[in-house]
Amino acid sequence: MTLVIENISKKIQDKQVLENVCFELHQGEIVGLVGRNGAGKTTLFGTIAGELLPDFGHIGLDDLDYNKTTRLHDQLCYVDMPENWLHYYSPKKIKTIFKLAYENFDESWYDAEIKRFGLNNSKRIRTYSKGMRALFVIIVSFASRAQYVLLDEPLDGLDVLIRDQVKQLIVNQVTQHNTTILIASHNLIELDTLVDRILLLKNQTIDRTFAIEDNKNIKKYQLAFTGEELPRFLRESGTIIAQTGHIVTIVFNDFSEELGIKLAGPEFKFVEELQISSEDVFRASFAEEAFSWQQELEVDA
Amino acid sequence: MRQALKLYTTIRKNQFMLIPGMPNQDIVDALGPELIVIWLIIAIIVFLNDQSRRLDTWLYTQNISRGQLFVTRVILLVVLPIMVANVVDIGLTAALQPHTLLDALNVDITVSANIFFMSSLFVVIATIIGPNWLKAAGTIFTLGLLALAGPTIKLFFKSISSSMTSHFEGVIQPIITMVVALFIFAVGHYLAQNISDDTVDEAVRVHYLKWPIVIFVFIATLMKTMSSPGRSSFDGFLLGLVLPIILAIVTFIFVFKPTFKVTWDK
Repeated sequence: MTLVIENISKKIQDKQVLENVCFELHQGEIVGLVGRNGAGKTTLFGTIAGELLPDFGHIGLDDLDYNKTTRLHDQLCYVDMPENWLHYYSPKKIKTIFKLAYENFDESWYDAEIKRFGLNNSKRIRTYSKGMRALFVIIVSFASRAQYVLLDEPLDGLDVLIRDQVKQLIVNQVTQHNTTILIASHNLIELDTLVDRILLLKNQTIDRTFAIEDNKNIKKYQLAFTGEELPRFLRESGTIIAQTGHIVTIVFNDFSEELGIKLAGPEFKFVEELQISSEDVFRASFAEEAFSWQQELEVDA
Repeated sequence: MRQALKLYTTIRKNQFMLIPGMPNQDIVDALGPELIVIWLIIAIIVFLNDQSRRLDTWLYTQNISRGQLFVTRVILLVVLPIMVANVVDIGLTAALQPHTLLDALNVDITVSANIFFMSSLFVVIATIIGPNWLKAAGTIFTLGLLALAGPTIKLFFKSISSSMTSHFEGVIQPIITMVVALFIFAVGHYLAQNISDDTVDEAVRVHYLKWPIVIFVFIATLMKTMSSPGRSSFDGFLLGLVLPIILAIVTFIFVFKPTFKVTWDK
C-alpha cells in the first residue's frame, strides 16, 4: 500500500503555495517534512488529508483517487492542531466520535494511553495545556489505527520527558502496526533520531528527499584560518554556521575535491570534519538565502 | 450517506436535544410555526458554529463526501425540525382543538413550504459565502429583496391559481415553493462539492461565482430602485442608479479585495 502524491499544485488567494509536489509514502515509513516558515507544509497536509482541494494533480492510494474515494478516508488520519472543534469535547466524547469515524479505532489502547499520560478523561480538551493538547492529538491519531498518520509539529510544546515518551509512541506505532507517519517539524534535531528520510519543501515543491547517509557531498567542518580575514572562497562555497574569532564552523552544500585541497592549504591551522545532521542539510539547502542574509547583516553592522 | 448522518448526529447530539419546550395551550394555534422558527434558529447557530470551530475542516477529511455532508445538514437542520414541529403541532391540535385541525394543517403546510424555501436560500448563501457576518448580510439582502418583491410573487401565484379550482388554490403555492426550494438545494449540493477549506475567509468561496454575485447585487438593486415612482425622467433615472452602483462597488471590494497603491512617485 503506497500513498502517491502526484503533481499537486495549490494556489491560496492567488498565491502559488504548492507546485507540482510529488512524492510517495510507503508502508511502515517515518518521513519528515521540513521547510521554512510559510513554505506550505500545513497546506500540503491539508491537501493530502482532503481539507483542501488541489488545483491540479492527484493523490492515489491503492491505485484509486484518494480524494474522490471517500471510503478510503479512514486509512488516513490528520487532526489539525490549531483551535478546532475537538477542544470543546472531552476525550470520552471524542472516543465515541472517532470510533464511528475510524473502523479500526483501538478503544482499549486509547483508554490506556489517556490514563498513562494522566489526561483527564472527562474534561474538555480546551482546559488542557498546550503540551497536553499536542499529546492528545498524537494519542487520538494513533488510536485511529489509520494506515497513514500526518502529524504537524507533534513535539511542539512537550517537555523533554513527555517528548521521549511520544517518540517512543511513534516508533512503537510503526513497528507494531506498520503505520506510515509523515511528520512536519521545524525541530530537525528531533527528526534526525526518528525519521527514515526527510522531504524538503522549498520553492513550492519537494526540492529534495534526503536521508543523512545519502548526502555524501554535504560536509560540515570546523576550521581555524591563519590570516586576518576569512578566506573568500569559504563564504562563496559554504554556509557559515558559527564563527568565534578565527574558528569557523561551516557546511558545504556541494563538497568537491578542489575544496578539500584548498582546506588542506596553508591558510588553515586546523581543519576537522564534523558529523552532519538534518539541520546541516537544511542549512545547506538554503545556502543562497543564508549567504544573502549574512551579507545584509554585515552591511547593516 | 448513513455514515455522514451517524457521524454528524453523534457530534451534534447535544444541540439536537435542544428541542424547544412545549408552549402552553393558549398559543397552540401558532405552535407549528413557532416551533419551526425556534428550532431553525438553533440550527443556524449550529451551522455557523461548525465553520467557526473548524468541524467542517475535519469532516472534509472523513469517509463522507462534501455532498453527503451537505445533504446531512439539510436533513438534520432543515427538514427534521420542520417535520417534527409539524407532527407535534398536528398531534397537539388533534388532541386539544380537533375542530381546527384542517386550518392548522393548511397553515402548517404553507408556513413549512415558505420556511423550507427561505432555508434553501440561507443554506446556498452560507455555502457560497465565507465569513459568518457576510453570510448573515447576504441572507438579509436576499430575503429583503424577496420581501420587496412580495407583491409581484403574490400576483404570480394568483395568476396561476386563478385557472384552478379552489381546492388547488391552497396547495399549488406550497408545491411550487417546495419545488423551487429543492432546485436551490440541488444547486447548493453541487456547489458544496467544490468548496475547499482554504476559501473559508473569502467573501465568495466559488471562484466562478465572484463576478455573477457582483452583477446580481447590481441588477437586483437596480430593478428595485427603477420600479420606484419618478424614474422616468433623466434625473430620476440617474438617482435610481446611485444605490445599485454603491452596493455593487461595496460587493466588489469584499469579493475581490482590490489593493490600491497611493503613490506620488513617477
